[in-house]
Amino acid sequence: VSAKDRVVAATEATAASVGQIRPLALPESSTVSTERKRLGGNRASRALARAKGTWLLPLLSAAVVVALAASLVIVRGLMAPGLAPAGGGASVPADPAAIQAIPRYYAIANEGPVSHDEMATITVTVGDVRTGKAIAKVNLPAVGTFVGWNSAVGVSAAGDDRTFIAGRRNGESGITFFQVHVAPGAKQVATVKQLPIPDLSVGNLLGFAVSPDGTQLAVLSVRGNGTTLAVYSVKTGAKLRTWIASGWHYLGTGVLATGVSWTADGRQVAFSTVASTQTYASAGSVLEELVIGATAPSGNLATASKVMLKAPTSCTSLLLTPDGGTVVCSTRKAESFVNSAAGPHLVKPVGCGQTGPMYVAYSAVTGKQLRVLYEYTGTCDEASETALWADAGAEHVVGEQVVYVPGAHYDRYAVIAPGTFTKFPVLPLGQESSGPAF
Amino acid sequence: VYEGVEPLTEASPGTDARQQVAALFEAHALGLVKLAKVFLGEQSIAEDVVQDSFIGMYRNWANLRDKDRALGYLRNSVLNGCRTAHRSRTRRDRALRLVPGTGDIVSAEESALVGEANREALAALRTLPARQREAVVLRHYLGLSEEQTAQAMGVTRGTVKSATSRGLATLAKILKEEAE
Repeated sequence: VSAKDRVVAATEATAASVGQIRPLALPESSTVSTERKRLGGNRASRALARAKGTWLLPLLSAAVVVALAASLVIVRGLMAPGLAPAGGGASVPADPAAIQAIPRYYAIANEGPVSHDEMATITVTVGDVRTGKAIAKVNLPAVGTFVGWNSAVGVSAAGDDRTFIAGRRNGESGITFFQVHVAPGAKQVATVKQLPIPDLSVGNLLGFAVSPDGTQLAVLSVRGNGTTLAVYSVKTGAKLRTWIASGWHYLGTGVLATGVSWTADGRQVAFSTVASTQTYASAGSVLEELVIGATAPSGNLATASKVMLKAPTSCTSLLLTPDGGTVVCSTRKAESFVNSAAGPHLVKPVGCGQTGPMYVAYSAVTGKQLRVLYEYTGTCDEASETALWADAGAEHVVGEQVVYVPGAHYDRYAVIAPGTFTKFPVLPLGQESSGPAF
Repeated sequence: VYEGVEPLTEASPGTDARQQVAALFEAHALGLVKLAKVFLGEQSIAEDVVQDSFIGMYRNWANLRDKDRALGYLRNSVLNGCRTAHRSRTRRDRALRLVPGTGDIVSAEESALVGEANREALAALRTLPARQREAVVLRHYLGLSEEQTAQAMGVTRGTVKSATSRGLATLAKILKEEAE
């Protein structure tokens, strides 16, 4: 059966699965009232235009200045020291020392505008958490891409706080990796080189991570024959080891932002997966954090790896701390897609802002909950937490917090330490991007 | 597959905007929801996109120059809505759907209706860039001509040809890899 026939059959089957649809709900206001609104706006504009050049204008300007000054005084008076800014939802004291406890530099990769000939450049930016500024920007060679296709497939940071690996999807042909090294204060702050790893046709890339010493790259991917973890030499590009779990299939689409990490000694690779042999997700799927010896002989990923934590169902991402002793579970409150008698529809999450989302530390030895590191208590329609980096024992965790409120959403980055939630700025992520990696 | 292709004005010229748009909805909403669901996968979002398109048409009814081509306008609007929904969902997925599968839970009933093999083909289709995805679906699901597809996508016929051919080549590659 040709790909075309398969797609036609699939689209027809999808279309046939649409049953009843809800009736049209037109607004009460018709084109007439819309027209009135438009005219009203024009009238206001005309009135303002007329006011220009008359004695009213200075008076209006003065009134605006006074009103603005008064509002600033009120806002300043309302904001207590240490209180999170509007929309923060977290009123825990900031801890400047926490910023010193995390890597100073991070990298993000943004895909630039797609040109008329469908080419785009990926810019890797290295930012400084202490100043909030970029210290270096490097452009990877332009690559064929398309609007809506993210070519910046990931970024990973080595343990020296200076070396980053970025992945670039090359149109339809595979993935190339680049190393970006920064030397703050040097004449040439950043250097970039393409790694000799052959272009990877990796199916659905789940994630990759460079070892703490920057010498090896672990890549996790999934395709028809199951899930593969491979370790490559950064220097020679040689594939050092490969483990395959033929029964582990990917359950969704997209790229995992945090799928793979290394222990600090470089002896183990940790990764998250969903314990399910079903092709598609079921409510009973369990997220697990596993480790595998980085020098174990190539073979079966399922038997060579060891489960460190079977996470509670509330966990949506996991991160093993570099000492291998603690797993940080991040949770989210998200809409879910359900089928009911009324037809399939999205259901709002329960308790968003009242019962999390949160970060919870679990023992990688016993599997028991150690402590709640942070719980979001602000207003939200949906919200998620993701642990991007952690130190030994999860004393400090770098977290990404995404909060949806009606009509807007906020991305925040913070250091979570005992009793504190210290936000810091991260440079803007584009529509198609990856990172930040610490 | 696609019912009620142009011309489509079933409402008489004398009826008001509300009645005419309602008549268009009656005749074409289901087909457009099916089209949007092929692109987006979730019926509720597909219905939102189609509702928005009809509401947009209703608001701009007085400015609609050629009411005989209302389906063309609606189809353009639905395609735009799908692109926007896809983009915002991609951004949101990055943040909210880090766990394989948990964002794509489907009922057993729907799973049975669509079938596993078809789901793999749809997943492959949805990894295509927007332009290729649209060209493949409009040409081979809706059965539109190259000219009609070009009009719906707002591109040239040459672009439709190359996007369709590249899209099918990529699908063949992905589905072959999946089968290996």
